[in-house]
Amino acid sequence: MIPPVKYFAERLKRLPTQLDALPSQASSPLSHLMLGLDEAWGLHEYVRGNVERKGRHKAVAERNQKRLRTLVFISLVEAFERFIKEIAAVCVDALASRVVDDRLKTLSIDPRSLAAHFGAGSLGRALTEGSTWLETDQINTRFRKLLAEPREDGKFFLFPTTKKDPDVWRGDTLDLVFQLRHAVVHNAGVVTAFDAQKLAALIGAAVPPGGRLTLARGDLWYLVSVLRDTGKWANERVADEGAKVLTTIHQDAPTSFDAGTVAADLATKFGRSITIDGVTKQP
Amino acid sequence: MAGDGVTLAADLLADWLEKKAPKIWWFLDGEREVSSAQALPAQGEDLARAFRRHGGRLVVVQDEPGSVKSGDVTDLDALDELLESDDDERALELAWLVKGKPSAPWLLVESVVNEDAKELPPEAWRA
Repeated sequence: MIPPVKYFAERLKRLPTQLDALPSQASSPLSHLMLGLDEAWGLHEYVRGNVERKGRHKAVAERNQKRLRTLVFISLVEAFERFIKEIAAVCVDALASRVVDDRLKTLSIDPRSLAAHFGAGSLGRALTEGSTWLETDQINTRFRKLLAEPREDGKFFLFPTTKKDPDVWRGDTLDLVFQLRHAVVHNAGVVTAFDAQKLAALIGAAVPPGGRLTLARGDLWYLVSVLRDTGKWANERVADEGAKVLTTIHQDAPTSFDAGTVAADLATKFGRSITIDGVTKQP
Repeated sequence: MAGDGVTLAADLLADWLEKKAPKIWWFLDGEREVSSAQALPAQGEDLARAFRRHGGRLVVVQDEPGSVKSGDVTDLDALDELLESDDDERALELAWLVKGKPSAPWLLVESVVNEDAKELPPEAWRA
């Protein structure tokens, strides 16, 4: 006898309708990120705690926890990618109707997806959700265009590119994390020759191909800490730059929008005070 | 085999699965030999055939060194006593003996499919 697989397949059709409501934190990208990181780390700690309390089947438990750590790693990186998309969406929503240049061209989307996203009521989401945001070069290009001063090509680099910049390590670390994620998602954690080559360039040391990525508990915690700190840092930078661009636009055309209303909206979304053309609002 | 822990023949495990739990669904967590030929989860009677085909000897993995028992298990009742029961799910941690040495441990455990099976309509069980 085989498992009743066709019946199981029927049951899987229910999945698209089995949806939990989004948590209240989802309205602010940074809070949403913190929740995502806490949930993924919390899952790991919950399972670990229970396994250690039972103290049985140590070898089997450790093997399964290794696998769990890989899945938690993916969840952590996904939470960060979602955060980057969400802060980009906030920028699009704040700027799209107030500029006449082609800055949104940097976010490509096919018309069908765009139409489907209108139901969400956010152009920003429509333009950011469908694409991947897992390369710092590409993220930099998008934010540079998106947050350019009017009639300029943009000088803002979310992740610094000059080696002298004290925050350059953030982008370098994310590039490493994104490449490790690639190995886990596309090759079940096996570091292929291609991955090994890229990883070696990123860490400046040889990486043997063919092995399977193994994460320790501490590695997950390092990642949580880096993503938490880098999330706060990126949130500040994008909020500051967005407010700066909106200030320029407002100064060019003071009647085009109410600075206080927009500042209040952005203060809520970025979770911090925002000043546009001298008007400051708190979250 | 005294001193090597509790050992048993794969055939004995097969007998146990066939006689004591033929319709129960089982999962082998981390086992790489029998499970390469037998789809999992599997019912006791199917898994029994797979273990019998494989043959060989197994050692029971014991977590608490202070209470290590040793010796060959040769009857079904003795094997019954070795199975752990947690939340009504029976489990036994085992390892294949390869050239007399235990290989990587794995778990014979009752599958969660057993719970699902209670909810399934009879037609779902047609092979």
